Amino acid sequence: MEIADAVVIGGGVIGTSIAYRLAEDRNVILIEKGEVGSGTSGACDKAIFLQSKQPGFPVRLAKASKEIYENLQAELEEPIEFKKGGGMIVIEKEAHLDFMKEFVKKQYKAGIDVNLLDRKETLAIQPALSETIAGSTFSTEDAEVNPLLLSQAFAAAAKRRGASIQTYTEVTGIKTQDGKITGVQTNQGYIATELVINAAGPFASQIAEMAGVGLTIMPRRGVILISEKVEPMINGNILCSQYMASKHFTSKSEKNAPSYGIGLSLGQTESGNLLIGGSREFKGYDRKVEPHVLSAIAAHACRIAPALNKIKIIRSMVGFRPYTGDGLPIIDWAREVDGFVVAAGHEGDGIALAPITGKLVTGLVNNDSKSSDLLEPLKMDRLQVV
Amino acid sequence: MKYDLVVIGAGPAGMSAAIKAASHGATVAIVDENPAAGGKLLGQLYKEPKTGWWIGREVAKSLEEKVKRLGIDYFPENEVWAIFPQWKVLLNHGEELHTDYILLATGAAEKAIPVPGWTIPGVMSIGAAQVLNNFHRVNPGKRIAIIGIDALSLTVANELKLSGAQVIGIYLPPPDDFLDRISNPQQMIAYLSSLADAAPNHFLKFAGKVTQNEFIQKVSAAFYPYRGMKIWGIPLFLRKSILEIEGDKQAEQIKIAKISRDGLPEMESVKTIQVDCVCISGGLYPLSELASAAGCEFAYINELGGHIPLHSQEMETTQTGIFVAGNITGIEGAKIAMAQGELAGTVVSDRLGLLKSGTAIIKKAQARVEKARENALIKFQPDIEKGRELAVQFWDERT
Amino acid sequence: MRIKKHPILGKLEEKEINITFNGREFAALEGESIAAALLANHIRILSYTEKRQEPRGIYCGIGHCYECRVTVDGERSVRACITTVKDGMRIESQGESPK
Repeated sequence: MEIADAVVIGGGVIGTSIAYRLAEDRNVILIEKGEVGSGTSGACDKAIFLQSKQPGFPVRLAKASKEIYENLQAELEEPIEFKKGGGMIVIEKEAHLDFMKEFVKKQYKAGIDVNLLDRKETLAIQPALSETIAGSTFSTEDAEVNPLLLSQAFAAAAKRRGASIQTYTEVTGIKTQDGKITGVQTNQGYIATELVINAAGPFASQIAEMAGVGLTIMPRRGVILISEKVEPMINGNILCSQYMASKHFTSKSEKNAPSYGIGLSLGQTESGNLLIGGSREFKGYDRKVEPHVLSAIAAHACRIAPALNKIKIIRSMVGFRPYTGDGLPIIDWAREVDGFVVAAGHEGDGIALAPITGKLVTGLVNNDSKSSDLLEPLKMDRLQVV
Repeated sequence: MKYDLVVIGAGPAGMSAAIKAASHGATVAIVDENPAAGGKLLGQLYKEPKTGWWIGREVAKSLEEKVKRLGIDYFPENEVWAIFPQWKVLLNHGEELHTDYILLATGAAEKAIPVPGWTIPGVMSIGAAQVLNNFHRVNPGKRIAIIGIDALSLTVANELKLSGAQVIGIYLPPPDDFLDRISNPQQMIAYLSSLADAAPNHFLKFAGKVTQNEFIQKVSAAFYPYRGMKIWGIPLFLRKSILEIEGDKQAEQIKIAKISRDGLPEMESVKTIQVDCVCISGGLYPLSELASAAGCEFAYINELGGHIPLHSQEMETTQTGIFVAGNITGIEGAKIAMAQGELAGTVVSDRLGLLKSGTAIIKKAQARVEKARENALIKFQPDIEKGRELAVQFWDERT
Repeated sequence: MRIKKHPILGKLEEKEINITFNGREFAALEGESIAAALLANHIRILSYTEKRQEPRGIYCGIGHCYECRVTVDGERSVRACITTVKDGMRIESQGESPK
């Protein structure tokens, strides 16, 4: 048996970020059923977009996270390939122009440096795009990070603070007594603790259930294609306005929207591989992707960036994004039992929000009033079915 | 497009299966990523004791002509990027083939022997050298050294010499924990002498005879001469191994050392020899990625060359409708692959309801596979029979 | 390197065509692979590795090892060993050669 001040469940970008912060003045054990960053955090793109967030609180939260990113590499003393390469949202159809114009205005008001570019200006920045696009919005504030390195870096830094990272360990039960958390049972042994942080991403509901906590986080499946290594051809990261539409609205809200929730996300890694996304589907935890989804992602990407046409795809990756329903994560104490924190449901924003999540969880646990402003809209109650 | 049968791999097994099924009236498609039909047949060239020269590219050509005559849809230069239930075969140029039956006849690839310097241009697998030499008619080099002593490397050495290249020697790989069987002189002698009675061609037979020589057998590997023995003019070194290949932009020289009776290199004996090409013969392994992608169950059977998809006596895998034939089921010769292909083609025809007395015809086709095995003189894998028994056993245990 | 006359396979009778490799013109035979055509012209280096710029050439000969990737008429990562030459084909080695 082991004893810990806190047990963090989940070793993705969220869990490792939390473990790193909590380990500053706590004895922390992080439990991960696979390898660090091998789940959702290992099957996503690398973009840290600010301009794609809904104006208002989501933008505020993302900005707070981005601020931490500015010095994170130095703080963690590990490479994370953080770069401020800018971000672009391609407006493919004239029909999306008005919607995006409105969006940019609001974002500008919210303090994001974002500009509407015409076709020519857009192509000057991204020559790989099609001559037929309508324009784009561009922000120099958007950045990127290597998500694989990010979770590794958080984990390594947490270890240096004394945290124990236990990989290939699965939680099999959570013990409570008199309405309080008393310990975590894993397939490797028992850990006595009074504080559990549920950072299990798309599996957070199952973990919550072990503690008798009701939580609805659904796995939303996303597929990304990975190309061979090619010469630099994409500057920063690109989304399409269709991505915005499928992110912020249900597919019903727009006619002729591509199936499988497809919207372009495109970026190039340091080693030259292109990450070409993506789809958004509710398919449970089924990893078997139908060929049509892959073809549709490729076709959509090639239409917007015809330069992709002759580039070879070497593999695809499937990730389950934890979906809450309103595009925001949950960072809150569970009501049913004392000592159980939920920090999950970031869907496609886990990379962007990982740094702030670590700080917010620490603030929540330490009852720090400075955090309460950002924590308020992330409470669990907001999603209660009436 | 909808087909009765989609065959993946236009080698001896795949084409034989397609021909068999199409001749019974099935609609068939064949896919292969190579522009030329034939697979491993393309490089083959050796003299058989009874029937004369076996010219693989001509065998391939006659199979291809039959394929065309029967109206089989042939998709060369097409890669299969996915197989989805139940069943869709997706090709990289966009075609989508729908079918109830798939035959995976993907053949084999060569195992590497990572001798230092093996990535330098001019160093290539023995199979690549064979295809360049016998199919494309380009010598892979002028002064060629061969690493690895087996039926294939001995055969190719002879083919290279026949076409005018100089084979300066056939050597053992460097001693290595993973290569014990093929880097140990004593075991090599035992293997070679086993070829003597069963070799498919004179050259191999001769290699076997040399090592079967009573003197060598009696005193074992320890006294096999360091200078090697010439087999039809090609030096066979059972007690020298290539330690390293050197060259800046391409292979220029090899470092060779004598091997002690314990199988260790004697470092004071290291010598450098000029070459422009080194061929590596590490043996073959079944190419089974697609079977894995299609969800077939596997067994690792060393005697058959590696992981093979479990399959019934009717060549069907654990996935209903997916069949296998040829080297994907274990490393054997082209004639066995052809017989297996015909068997698979027959079984699929029967499933399609195209045969009247299917059971009897299938039995006959099975007998022909056995017959081909009996007549197979070349044995790529030393314990192939044991491997086959294990494959049957694994299948039976599962069902 | 060409085996013009073979004791068993006879004479070579394929038609000659022209290809270019890294800007230079070479003769090739109809129906042969890019790798074979270049080797017949004594060209062994087909690509350079990314990190150390090491030369690479034909290895497996069956399209499996991807060591022979070249750029053909602007299309990257074409396998020289299983792609047939065509008249006028422009072939370039892939990867950067060491300085």
